[in-house]
Amino acid sequence: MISWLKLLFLVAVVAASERYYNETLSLKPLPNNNLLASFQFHIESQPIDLEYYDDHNKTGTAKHYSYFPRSLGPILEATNTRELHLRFTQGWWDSGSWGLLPQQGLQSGGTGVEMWAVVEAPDSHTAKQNWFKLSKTLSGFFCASLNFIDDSITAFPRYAASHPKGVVLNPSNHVYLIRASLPSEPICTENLTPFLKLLPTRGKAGISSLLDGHKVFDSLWHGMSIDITTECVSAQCHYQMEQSVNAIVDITRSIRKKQEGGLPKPTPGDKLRCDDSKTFNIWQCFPLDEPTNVTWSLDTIYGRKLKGPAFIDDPESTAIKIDIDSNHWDVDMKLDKDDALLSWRVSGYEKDQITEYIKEEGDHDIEFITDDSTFTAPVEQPPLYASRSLTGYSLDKGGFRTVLTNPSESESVEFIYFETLPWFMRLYLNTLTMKVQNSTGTYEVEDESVYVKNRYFQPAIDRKRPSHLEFVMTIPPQLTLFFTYQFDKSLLLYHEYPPDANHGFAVEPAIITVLDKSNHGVYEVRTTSVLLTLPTPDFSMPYNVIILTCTVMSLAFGCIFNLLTKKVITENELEKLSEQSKLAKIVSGLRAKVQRLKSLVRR
Amino acid sequence: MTSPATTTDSARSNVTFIRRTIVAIVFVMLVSLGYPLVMSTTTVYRAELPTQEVTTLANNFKHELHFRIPVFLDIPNGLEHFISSAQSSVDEYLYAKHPELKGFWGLDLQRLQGEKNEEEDYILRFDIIDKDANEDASESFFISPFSRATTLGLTTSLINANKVDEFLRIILLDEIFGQEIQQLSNLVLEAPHPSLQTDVVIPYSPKYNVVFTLLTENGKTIEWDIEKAIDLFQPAFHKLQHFTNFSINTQIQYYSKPSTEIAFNEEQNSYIITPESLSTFINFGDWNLITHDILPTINFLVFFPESNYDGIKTIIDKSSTNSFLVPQWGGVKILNKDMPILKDSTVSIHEDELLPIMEIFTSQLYQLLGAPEAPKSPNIRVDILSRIAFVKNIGKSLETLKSLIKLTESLNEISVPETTKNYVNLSLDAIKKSFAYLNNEQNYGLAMSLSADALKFSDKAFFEKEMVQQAYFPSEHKLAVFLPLLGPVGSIVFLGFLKVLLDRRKEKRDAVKREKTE
Repeated sequence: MISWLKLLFLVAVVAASERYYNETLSLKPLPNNNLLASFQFHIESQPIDLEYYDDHNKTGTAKHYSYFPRSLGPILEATNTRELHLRFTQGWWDSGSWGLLPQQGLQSGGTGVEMWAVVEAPDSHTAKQNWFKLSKTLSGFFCASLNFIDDSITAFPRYAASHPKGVVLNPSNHVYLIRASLPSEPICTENLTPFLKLLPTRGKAGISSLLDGHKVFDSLWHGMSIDITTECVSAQCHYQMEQSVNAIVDITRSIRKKQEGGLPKPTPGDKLRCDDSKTFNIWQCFPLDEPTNVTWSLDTIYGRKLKGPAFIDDPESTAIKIDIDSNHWDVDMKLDKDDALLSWRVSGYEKDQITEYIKEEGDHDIEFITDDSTFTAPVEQPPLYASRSLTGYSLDKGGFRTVLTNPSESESVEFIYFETLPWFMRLYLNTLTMKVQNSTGTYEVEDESVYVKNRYFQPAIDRKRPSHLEFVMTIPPQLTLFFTYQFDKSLLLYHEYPPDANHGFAVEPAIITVLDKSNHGVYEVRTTSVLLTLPTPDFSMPYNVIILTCTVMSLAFGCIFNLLTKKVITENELEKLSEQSKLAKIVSGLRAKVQRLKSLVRR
Repeated sequence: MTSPATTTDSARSNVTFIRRTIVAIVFVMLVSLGYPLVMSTTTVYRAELPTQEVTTLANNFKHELHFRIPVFLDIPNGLEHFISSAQSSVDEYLYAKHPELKGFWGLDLQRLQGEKNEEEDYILRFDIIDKDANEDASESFFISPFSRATTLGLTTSLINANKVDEFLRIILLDEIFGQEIQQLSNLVLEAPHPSLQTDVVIPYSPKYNVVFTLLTENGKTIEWDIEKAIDLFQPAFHKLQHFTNFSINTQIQYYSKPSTEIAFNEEQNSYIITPESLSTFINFGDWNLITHDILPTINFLVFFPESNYDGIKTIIDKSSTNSFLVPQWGGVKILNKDMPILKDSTVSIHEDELLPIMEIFTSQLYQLLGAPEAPKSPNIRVDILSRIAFVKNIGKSLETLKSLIKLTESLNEISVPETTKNYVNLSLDAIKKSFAYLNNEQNYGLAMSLSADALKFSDKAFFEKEMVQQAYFPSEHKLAVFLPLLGPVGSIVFLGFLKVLLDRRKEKRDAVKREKTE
C-alpha cells in the first residue's frame, strides 16, 4: 500500500518545483449536475535537523518552521514518525457515474477516519508505543476519536510494507508501517477547523478561503486527507505535506439552497417542469429531469468568494484547474477589486483543460455557464470495480461476499486486497470459496492460485489483535471474481458494548491497491464499510437476573426457615387459637355491634 | 390457658428451645458471615498513605532546611580575625532584620584558600584604592557579570574608621543577596508576594518549550534571520541549564491580525496601542500559538504590523521598548522597520534588528522564570533562582501531598490505589534526599533537580487516573445489587427473631399469671 507513495512524491515534486507552498483547486463538472471539487495543498518545511528521539537526548537543536505547521512538527519528532497519513471520509463514491477517484484514489480514505504511519523504532513494541502516543496527541489535535485506537484495531500491513519508504536516522533501527481505522467516526466541521489551521494561509486567502464547514460537508461524498513524509538528501531532512479536500457537490441542491434557503419548499405551480409528451393538466404533471442549462459559480456552491492568491509575491502559488467539455461550457472569471468588477472569459491552452493562476488581490469568482450540462469532460473508467457485502441472517454467524470486476477489454489487473476485521468476527479461512463470471457464464474456481498469487493471514486474538488478511490477486480482462468466506460472531463482555449497541458495529472497508508492472500502487479503491449486528443483550439483564435469583433464593430460605422455627398445627387447633386471638375478639366484637345496629335499623 | 400433661409440656419446651436456637444461629451467622462478606465485596481498595510523615514534613520543613552559603574572602595573611568579626556583623544585622531566617538561611564567610573557581564559588576580593592617586575616590564595588566574584574597592579612610565589615555587610546583604533574602523571607512568612511577582512567574518545570513566532498581517513574503538570532539567545539558555532545559521552536504566521483593530493617532502620525487594549491584543483563537505538549510553553511573539509597508510606526503607549509581557505566558514585541520598505521587495528582518529584540526577550524570560532583577551577574541570578525554586518546589509538593491526604480522608468512597502510594513514597524520598544534599553539601543544583522530581511525583500521585475515575462510584449501586437478596432474607430473619422475643415475653407474663393464680 505504501509503495504508491513514490508516485505521489513524483507528482508532488513535479508540481512543487522548489516551492515551499502551493495550492490547486481542480473543478470538474460531472453528469447529473454534479461537480468534483478538489482542493490540493502542498507544503514543504525548511531543512530540519532531525535526530532519533528517545528519553536520553533531551536537548535538541532549535527547529524553524515557516510554512509547515509548527504545531505538528514536535509531535512527529517526539514519536519518531517518519510518515503520517490521515483520512477523513464520508459517503459512497459512485464509480459507475463518477469514474476514477480523484488523485487515483491515493488521497481518498474509506468511510470514517483512517490513519497510518511509518514509525522508526528499534523493535515493534517501541513502535507501537510511539504509535499510540501519536494517535492520542492527534486525537486532541483533530477533535477525532483517534484516542480509541488500541491494540485490537492496530495492524502492521505486510505486502504494502514490503518496501517501506521511511528514513532511518539511527542505523540500528527499523521502520514500521502501522495502520488503524475508525469506520464509525463521523466527519464534521470540527475536523475541518484544525485541518485549515495547518495551512499557512489558515483559510484567510487563496483557495482555502472557500472552505466553509457547512458547505463542504453538504455534499454527496467528501474526503479530507493529510500526508506527511520525511525527505532526506544525505543528512539534510525536511518534511513534505500534502493536504487535500475532495468533494462531489450536487449543483442543483446548491442552486436551490442559494435561491430558497436551507429549507426545501414545494415548487409553485407555474414553476413546475412537466413532461408535455405525457398527460399534463392542472391536476397531473409528470416531472422532467433536472434542468440542463444551468449557470452557477463558486459563490453558489460555497457561499464565499476566493480571496486573492495565497501569497501575493508568488504568482503561481494559487492555481485553478478546470476540466470541461468546451463545446457546451463557458467559464468566466470575475474579480471584485477596489469596487470595480472585472470579468473575463478563460480558455485553456488545451481546449478542455484550463489552468489559471490567481495573481491579484480581491475577491475572485468563477462562473460556469452551460447550455447542456449532460455533456462533460470524459469520465474515466476505473481499473477495477469492487464491492463487499454481508451474507447470512443469523445472529451467531455470517459471511462476507466480495465482488471484484475487471472492466478492461484487454489488460489484466494485479492488486493487493487488504482487510482487517475486528476480533469479534471469527474468520474461517477454510470456508473461502471463489467463483468467476465472464460472458459465457459462472464457474467454480478449483485452483485458487490462478487468481491469488500470494496470501497472508494473521488470525485475531480476542481483544488484542484484529484478524488481518491480505491477498495479492490478478484478474484477467472482462472477468468478475466472487469470493466468500464465513465467520462466527462472538459475544462481547457486558462493558464492551458501546452505548448504541443495537445500532450495529461498523466494520472497516477493505482496501484494494492496484499495482503496475513494477509493483507500485497506481490506483486505490476501498469497499464500503459494513454494519454488523452482533447478538446484543438486553442491558437491564444483569439486574433482572440479580432480582430473579435473589427472589428465588429468599423464597427457598423463607420456607426452610419458617419450617424450622415455626410450630406446625392442625386446622382445628388453628381455629381454636384464632378464636382466642385479640384480632378475632375485636372482629367478633365489631360483628356483634353491626348486628345490633342492623337490628335497630330494621326496627 | 389449661395446662396440658407434663410429658407433652416438657417435649414442647424442648422443641421451642431448638427453634429458638435455630433462629439464634441463623441470626448470628447472617450477621457474622454476611456483614463481612458484603463489606469485603463492596469496599474499595485504599492503600495506607504515610499520613503522619507528610503532615509533619509539611508543617516543619522550613525548620529542617539550612542554607549556609559559603562566601570566600580573599584577604591577606594576618587578617584572619577579620572574618569572624565580619561574620558576626552579618549575622547580627541579618537576623535583627529578618528573625524568621534564623537557622534557615545564612552566609558562611571563609578565607579563600587554595584554588577556587570564580565560576562556581562566591569570592570577594578587596582592592585598596590609593587616596593619594585619586582625590575623589570613594569606596566602591563591582559584581562581575560573568562569574560569582565581587571586588570591593576600599579607601584608606574606611579601613582606618574600622568600617570594612559594615561595608562588606551592606554589599553582601543588600547588593548580592538582597533580593533572595526578600523573597525567601516572604516564602517563610508565607506573606503575599508583591502582586506582580507571583502572577508573572510560570510554574516550575524541568523543561520548557520556547516558541518564537513572527506574526505578519498579510501574505507578503517575509524572512527573518532567526537561526542566527537564536544563537544570540543560547548563552541565556546555557546559563540556565542547571535550573531547567529548553526546547526551542520558531515559526512564521501569516495573515495574523490582532483581535482588536489598532487605532491611528494623527498627532503622532502612528498607530497607538493603548495599555488597556494590550490584554485583548493577542488573538489566541486565530493565531496558531497552542503547543500540544505536557510541558509548559513560553511564547515570544514578534508582531510585524502592516503599517510598516506605509512607513507608519505602531507604538505601544508608555512602553520604551515597544514590548509587553503576558504573565505566565510570554512576551510580545511590536517591530517597526526603521527604513521604509521598497515596493516589490521581500521584507527581511536582519540579525542586527533581532539583537535588541532578543535582549528584550532574554530579560522577559528571566522575569517569567522568576529570577531577581539584581545583581546583574547571570550566575548569581540563576543561583538565587534555583534556591528559591527549590523552596517553592518543596513547598508545593508537600502542599499537594497534604491535599491528597486531605482528599482521601474526606472522601471515604474514593479508592487509593497502590500506585498512588508509590508515588507519594517516591516524592517523600526525593524530598528527604534533597534535604540531605542541601544541609550536608550545600549542593543547590542537585537539591533543585530532586525537588523538581518530588513535585513531579506528587502531581502524579494526586492525578492518578484510577483514583480520579472511581471518585464518583455511588454507593447506591452497591445497594441496588444487594438489596433484592438482603431485603427479603433480612426481613424473614428479623420477623422470626421478633416473634421469638414476643413469645418469650408472653411466656414470662403467663408464668407470672400462673404463679399468681396458684
